[in-house]
Formats: sequence, C-alpha cells, structure tokens
Amino acid sequence: MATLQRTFKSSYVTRLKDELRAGVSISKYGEDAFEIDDAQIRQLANIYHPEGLLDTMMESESEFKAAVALYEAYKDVSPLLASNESFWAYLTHTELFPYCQKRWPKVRDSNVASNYIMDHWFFGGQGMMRNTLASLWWSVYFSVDDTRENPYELTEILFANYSFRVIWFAVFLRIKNGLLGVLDFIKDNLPVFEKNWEMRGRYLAQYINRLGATRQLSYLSREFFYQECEKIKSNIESVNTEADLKRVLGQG
Amino acid sequence: MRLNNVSFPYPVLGVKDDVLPLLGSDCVKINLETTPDTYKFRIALSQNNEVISQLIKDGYAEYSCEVDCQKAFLRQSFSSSISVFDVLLPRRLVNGRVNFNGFVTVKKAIKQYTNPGFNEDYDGYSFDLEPGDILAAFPQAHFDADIKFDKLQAAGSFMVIREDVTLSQTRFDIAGDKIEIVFPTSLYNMYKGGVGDAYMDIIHSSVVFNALCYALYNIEENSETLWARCVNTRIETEPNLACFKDLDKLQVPELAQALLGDPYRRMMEKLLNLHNSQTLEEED
Repeated sequence: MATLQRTFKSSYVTRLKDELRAGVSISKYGEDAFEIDDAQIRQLANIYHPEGLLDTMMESESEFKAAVALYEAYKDVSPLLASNESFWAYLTHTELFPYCQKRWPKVRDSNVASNYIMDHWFFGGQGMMRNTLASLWWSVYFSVDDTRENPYELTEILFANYSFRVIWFAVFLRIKNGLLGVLDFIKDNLPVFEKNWEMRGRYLAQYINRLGATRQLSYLSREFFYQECEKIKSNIESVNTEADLKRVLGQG
Repeated sequence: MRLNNVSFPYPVLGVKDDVLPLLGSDCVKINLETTPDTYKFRIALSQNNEVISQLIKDGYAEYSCEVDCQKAFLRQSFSSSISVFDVLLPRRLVNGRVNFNGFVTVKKAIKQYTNPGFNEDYDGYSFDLEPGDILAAFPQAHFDADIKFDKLQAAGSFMVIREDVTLSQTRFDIAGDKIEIVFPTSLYNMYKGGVGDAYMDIIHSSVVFNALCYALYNIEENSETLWARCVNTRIETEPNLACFKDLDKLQVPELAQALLGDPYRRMMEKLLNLHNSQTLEEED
C-alpha cells in the first residue's frame, strides 16, 4: 500500500542546523545512519514515498542517472515544494542519507568542516544548488525536454561537468528557453566541449551573463540562444586557459 | 536583469532621464485575483511616448512582463501587444516574493532607432536594436506569496520564540523568515512551563520588544526576509503605521510599540492587576 511521503518540521531543520554550526552533530554525519527525532516528522499530502529509490540511486553509474531516478520518483512534486529546505533535508538525513554520503565522502573524515555538510545536506551559504538532492532535481526539471524522444538527452549534457552545472550555469538555469538553446548547441558540437568543458563552459556562461546586462533574456526564444552560441563558436574553440578566457572576454 | 543604477548602450524610457518625458508615477498597476490553485495578475503598463507606441503598433516591439521568483527558481516572461494583459501563475510555481518587471521589448530588429524624446546627450545618434533589447523599463512591482495577509496583525506572523539546546544565553536571530528569540533550554522550559501563557504581556514588553527593536534597527540589511516584508506590508497598508514609511532609526521604539499593540500599557495593566491581587490577599 502506498505511503505518504514524510518530511521534517521546519523548526527541526533549524535545530539541526544550529547543532551543526555549534559542532555538536558533525560526527553524526559520518555514521551509517543519522539518528533523528521521530516526533519532528510530518506527512505531505498527495506526495507518495517512492519504493526502491535509494537502491536505484546507489547503483547508478553516474550522477546523471541518479538525478533522473530522483526526478522520476518525485515528478509530481511542485516547484513550491521543491524549493522547500525541510523536504530535501528530510531526504538527505533519512531515506537518501547513504547516497549523500557516497556522493560527498569527505563527510566521513574526522576533520570535515561544518560548511561542507551545511552546503550538501541543507541549503547552505551557496543556496539550493549545492544541496545534494535539490541540485539534482532542479537540474533535471529545467533541462528535461518533452519534445525529444529521449526527454533527458539534454539533461545528460548538463550533467557532463559539475562546475558547469552547479556554478557557471546555476544562475542562468532558471531561463528554460535559454538553457535548452545552449544545451541544443552543445549537443550538436560535443567535440568542441569535450576538449575543455571547464573553461569553455565558463566562457559561454560569462558571455550569456553579459548579454543579459542589456537584453531581456527571458523574452528570447530557444532558437535565439542556439544561434547566439553559433555566432561565438570560433571564440569558444579558442578558449583553453584562463588567459584565453580573459582574452575573448576582452579582459586582457 | 537588474535595473538599479544601470545604463544601457542605448536610451531607454524609464531609465534615468534617457528619454523624456519620464514615465508617470502610476505607470504600473497590478491587480490580483486568486483561486485556490492560481494567482491571476492583471498587469497594466502605461507610457505615452509616440514613437514607442507606433513601434508597438507596427509589430516591432511589444509589452512584456518578466516574472521573477528567486525562491522557487522561476523566471519567465509574458508578452502582449496591448498594455493591459493577464499573467496566470499556478500557486504551485511560486514561493515567497514574486517580482514583476515590465518592459517594452524589441520584437523585430529596428534599424536606426531615434526618438524626439531622447535626452540631448543623444542628439544626432541613432541605434540599431535587436530582439530582446529594451525600449522602456517600468518600475518593479512585487507580490509576497508567503505573507498570510489575514494574519499579519498577530506578532506570531513575523516573530517566534524557540529553543536551542547548544546555547547558554538568549540570542536574537533575524536572518531567517521570522524574528527568532532563541532561548537556552533552561529559559525555554520556564517559558513553556507556564510563564509564557500567564505573563505574555510582560514577555511582549520585555524580550519580544527588545528583539523587535533589534530587528527593526537592522531591517534594511535584512529587507528580503519574510519578517521584514511583513513589517513593510503592514506599514504600507495600515493607516496608523503610515508615519513610519521611510523609517528613521529614531522611530524604531515607537514602531515596535505600534506593531505589538502598546505592550507597555498591557504590561502595566498586568502588573497593576497582580499588585491589586496581592494586596487583596494580604488584606485577607
């Protein structure tokens, strides 16, 4: 029988964060299971606990596959719920705790910093996109393309490089047309990016960021972004180092 | 796109005095209708620039509204060829503050754009504009989806008392959604054990008032928090709080008293009742 999805009370999340900041709970994150107060749990309406998700995610060959499994399991979650820290903190501390430890193994180190845990188990200083699970869900949410036979084709490209996904494009992620247009271009020009994702992805993100200073990016079409990337393709290909990056951006 | 203190490489009506006359003070109006599932915002943008209006009529530009909800990762534009249009947002898509930025946006490339309203600094210049460029930028408006407007009067809508087992002294935390009075366990147990219920008026005039003043002195730096937005909403909507618009720090104690419903009077009345009760007992 289907059971309703559980979550933490927000006051409990506050307490967990207090204890982490105070350093009293750091060692608990390195144990095999995180001990929680069952009295601090409540149930969500109309969201059901997915069976077998932890096993699927643990067995996934890549972060991309784990992300798709998570997204498929929680496809009916609204953006309102998906932007709620308590929901993700519940999962990172209970049902998907082992996955989070596997993803961020430094948590088992004796000298792990509390900020490291705060970022990946909660919404830390860097916001939602560093949370282990929220980051996966939102990345799929914005890159899934139902017009394709494989709706996760572009998602796989987004997951090709962690910095590209979580740092450089995190701000731009919200403009879905823009993100899909850029991913369309990358997909059609994979050899260009496979050579140097880090620098070339960074250039692309900074170029689009500058475009956004004078244009209303959210107004523009997916096709516009594809064509814009096409225009700067030779620049992208010329970026391999920090010096190249500065040169094409006109900074040196 | 952040429009505070920004210049474009072309003149934009609504940005400083790039194009004259300036937009009117009521150039943006937003009316809200709600259903259980949806917010319907009727956006009304008004501008009187003849050249811009003609470009819209000829299909080179259109009105648009960018809806931005950072907390729910929403950023989407809605556009229209007429200046009054509806934006429908399912409630499930938004969380917290929703910002509305209205524009007149270039739809088709415009060659050699000029406008009699250009600031004289642009005399003799024309501009080639591309889709996505801006002809007019309206002042930002917002809606707080997380403010329960019918419960704003209660201090509990923006303040809370809670426990922190790691503390040895009380502290105030104003970085989150609510102003938090954080007690160490020993004090929290006393509060929950009966003191809070029996002596709420005294609690309000002491620790709650102190915390609220501390928060109000720092409201600018914390303006994006839910509690700050609740306080500002009350100032904007309650006639008796209108004098606190453009809040001066000297006004903070007065504002705190107004928000808490005259806590010192309630404290004195409580103490008077306690004193009178004690006096009667002694006489007995």
